[in-house]
Amino acid sequence: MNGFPMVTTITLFPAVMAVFLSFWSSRSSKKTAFLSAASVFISLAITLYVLVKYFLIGNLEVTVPEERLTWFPDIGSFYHLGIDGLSIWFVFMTLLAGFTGLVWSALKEQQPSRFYIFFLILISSCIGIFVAKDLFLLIFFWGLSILPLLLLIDVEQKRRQSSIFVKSFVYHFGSYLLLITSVILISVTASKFSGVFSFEMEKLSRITFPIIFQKWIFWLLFIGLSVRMSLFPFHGWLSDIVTETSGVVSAFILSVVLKTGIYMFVRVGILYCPDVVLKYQSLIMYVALITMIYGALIALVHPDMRKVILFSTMSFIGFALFSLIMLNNRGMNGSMMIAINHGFVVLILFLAIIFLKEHFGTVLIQDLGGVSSVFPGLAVLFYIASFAYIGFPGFGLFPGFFLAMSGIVLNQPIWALVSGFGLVIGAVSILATGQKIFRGMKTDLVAHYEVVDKKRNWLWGVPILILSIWIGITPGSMFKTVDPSMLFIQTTIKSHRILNELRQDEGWSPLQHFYNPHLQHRKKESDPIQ
Amino acid sequence: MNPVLWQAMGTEFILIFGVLLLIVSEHWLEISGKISGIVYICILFSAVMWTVLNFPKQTIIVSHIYKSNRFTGVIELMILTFFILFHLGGYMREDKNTSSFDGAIRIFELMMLSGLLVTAGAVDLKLMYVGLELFSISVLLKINCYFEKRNIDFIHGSFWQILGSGTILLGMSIINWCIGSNQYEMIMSHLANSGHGQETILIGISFILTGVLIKTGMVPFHGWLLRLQKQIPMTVYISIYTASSLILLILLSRITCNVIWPMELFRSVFITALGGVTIFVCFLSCFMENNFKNWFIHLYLGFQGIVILGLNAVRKLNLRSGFPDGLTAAVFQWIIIILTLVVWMFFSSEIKSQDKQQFTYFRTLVKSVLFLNSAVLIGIPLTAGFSGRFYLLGSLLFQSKWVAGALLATGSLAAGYAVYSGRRMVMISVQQKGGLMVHYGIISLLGALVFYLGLFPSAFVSKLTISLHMIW
Repeated sequence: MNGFPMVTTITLFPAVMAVFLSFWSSRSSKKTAFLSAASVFISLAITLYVLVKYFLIGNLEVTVPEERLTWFPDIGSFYHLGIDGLSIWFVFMTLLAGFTGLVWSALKEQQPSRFYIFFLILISSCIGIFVAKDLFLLIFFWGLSILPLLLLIDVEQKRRQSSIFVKSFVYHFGSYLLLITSVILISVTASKFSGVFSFEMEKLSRITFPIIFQKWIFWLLFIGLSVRMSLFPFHGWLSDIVTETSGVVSAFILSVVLKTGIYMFVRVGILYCPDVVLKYQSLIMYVALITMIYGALIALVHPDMRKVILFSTMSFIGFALFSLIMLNNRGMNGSMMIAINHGFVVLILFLAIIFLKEHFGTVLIQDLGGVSSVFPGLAVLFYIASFAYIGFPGFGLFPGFFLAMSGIVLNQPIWALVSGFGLVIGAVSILATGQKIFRGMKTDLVAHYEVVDKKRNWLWGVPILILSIWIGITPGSMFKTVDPSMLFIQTTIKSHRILNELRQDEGWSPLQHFYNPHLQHRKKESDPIQ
Repeated sequence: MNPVLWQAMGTEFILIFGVLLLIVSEHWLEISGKISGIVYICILFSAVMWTVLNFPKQTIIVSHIYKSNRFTGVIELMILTFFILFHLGGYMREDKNTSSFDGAIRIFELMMLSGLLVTAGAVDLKLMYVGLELFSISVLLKINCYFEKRNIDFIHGSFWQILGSGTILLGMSIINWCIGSNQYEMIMSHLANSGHGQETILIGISFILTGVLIKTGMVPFHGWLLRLQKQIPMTVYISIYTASSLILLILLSRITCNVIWPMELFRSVFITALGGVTIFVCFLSCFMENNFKNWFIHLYLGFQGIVILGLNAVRKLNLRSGFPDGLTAAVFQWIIIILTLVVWMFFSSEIKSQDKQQFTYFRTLVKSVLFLNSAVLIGIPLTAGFSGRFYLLGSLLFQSKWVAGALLATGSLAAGYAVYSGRRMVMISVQQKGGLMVHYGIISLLGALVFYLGLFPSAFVSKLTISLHMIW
């Protein structure tokens, strides 16, 4: 397939289908849904081909051909797409979540055609974020992902209450403006050093930015990304959006959209602001820990099943960020593996809950009990997925947890205990919910339920579960692809850490150098050339 | 006639000739109605052709008071093209249903455009004043055509126009008293070279700028225009807004680049304050408005504030790659905003001010077009709105104009919410009646242009940059 624009096809095929569907006036919701699913399936098949050929069985030195075209020549921006060992898994996760959601929607929901159009654009834009090699393109896809996200709320809002839409709009558009500003600042600052204006991520990564700019860029980015990652206290939008949108969209948000934040933090935040990340490592760590503990505690007590999954996801994101900010090899790799594998498993759990909602008409834990007698297959699926979710050995999340915890223990053994506590609470919340719903005392609602649909309602989750088990049994397959992609970031961090330590040994810190005029003055005096 | 003068001011002459032609055809030959409209279009088209054919490659200076170059050429092309589109979009249909389908409206419109073009080319305060006065008198006369009897709001508006003229004259007198000349170049050289009399000149310029704001109905002096607009059709307001916003943009660009260029702090503070206040006042008003027309006016005045902020980052052209400067970014953003107004022209023939509590669905096409229009205004990627806003923010941050950048970011957020807040009013107010094929054709072309400028703006922007920087 040499010369075939594989990455572009993977990224834009769903969007092209969305354009086609917007002109195709079919009254059949199922036809629209299956066409949408087919387009995502084609992208998924190409992604699988790339994953197997280039990353799993192929020679790792041979990389997927990147696609690069001139786009905005005046500002040095290129249409530059590429897939590496890290992004391929995120792309795969996005397409799998999208495909599952669309098939689910086709079989079980009656959605208007605009739902599928917006959902396809959301899928394309999320893939775009993962494969963009140009900052302008990245921010372009980021902005594009906001619109369908908001419009999907509007599709579902039957009561036409605008407050949730407005709240989400302010959160996302506000954070987007912060991100645009930071991206422009990166490029503008880099141009003052290199003399060339560029948005290409690879070129920009070779430049060491002054600390003062790193600070600006970092805080703009971090606050902007905190909204997308739904870190405490910027998580307000998530709770509303999950309850107000379709179950499929909510599952996709928990599985993929939140991960775009952590992905961009790795690709942009850490890479371009290494000194500031090192300086504020503790602060970010505390934010991650608070998010983790807060999410786990709320998940433990919340009566709504959807919110239990939501807050435990928030806890997971906190944990992933916590291990990431350890800035060591194990922590960073573990963090990424958690983010990817969580995306697979949360899909099963959330869709199972949506299934229960469709059949029993409730999402409250207290209203359900003994559901295993009605849906035994689903109960087994939920239990296995719960074990996968809490990081049981043999499932994909286990190697991620293992690496992340060992990375945390290496740097912060005391805080490792706290994070372990958070993980245990999160695990208890999921297991307790599953136990209460499926094995608890049979409630009136379940007792009076007549089983009409005797199909095997658990089959849809099996392929994802097999994938999780495969990653759990052969974690090396994922690790060997993720690790080389993270190596460059780790090397950058390591070199900056050594540099900062050397500078501190000499009696000054990089921040003092930029802020203390006396030191600058003294340096000028001691310099014989000046 | 002097060939240089003819070449420099050919477009203005064509428009003045058009005024005479319409007067003759209306009052002596008694030709009106549709034929009058066709004559009007032909005049505008001839002016466009003249501008394209005689697009000056070099600057032509006429007696140190008028300068014709590619800057003025771009301004001429922009305004004439937009008025042709406006006419195709709304005027024919609007006027069919009202009693105003006569040549008088078009005569005043051509006078308004002539005033605008004279102001764009003027490099002397006196000629600038003449152009501005011609413009504002034409606007008042045009509005007057829609009043059948004496109207207090019209008198109120006239009073403000006179006040604006007086303020400008006062400013001009102060400057003339101080340096003995009203030429831009002389004022700039006095500001750059000597400290003596600088404060006096700046006071004079402040008076002139205040007068310009009053005459163009810009925040904080927009009250008179708000009162008048309630009684004029929407399409007329759109054309007046477009011309006023352009004349303000031209004058601010001219004064920034050709007059107060050495006074960096003064221009920076003035433009930031003006843009900031406009954004704050207008978008805040948008959130609270229940009347469609008021919401609409505040929305577009707010966007005017966003455009003005761009002028903070004007810099002399260099060939290095990078963000276009503030002047190009502001004009590009202005073009995009006016493109959305053209769409309004097509759909606003039946604007009714109603309560926003009601909600009605309309045809998919209308909804799609209005949705795309909103996406452009908010600045969603893929549309020209995104590239325009990105250039604007980039140019400000490139020049380290942090305050203006922060204001722009806040303003963009507010603009997004302001557009959203009025969506129900839009749906209820805009109705589509039949529609001509030419309308759908133009709407499709505009849509294609919006996507083209959103995805590949570089070629257009680089040409715009080269042309606009002939202002120096």
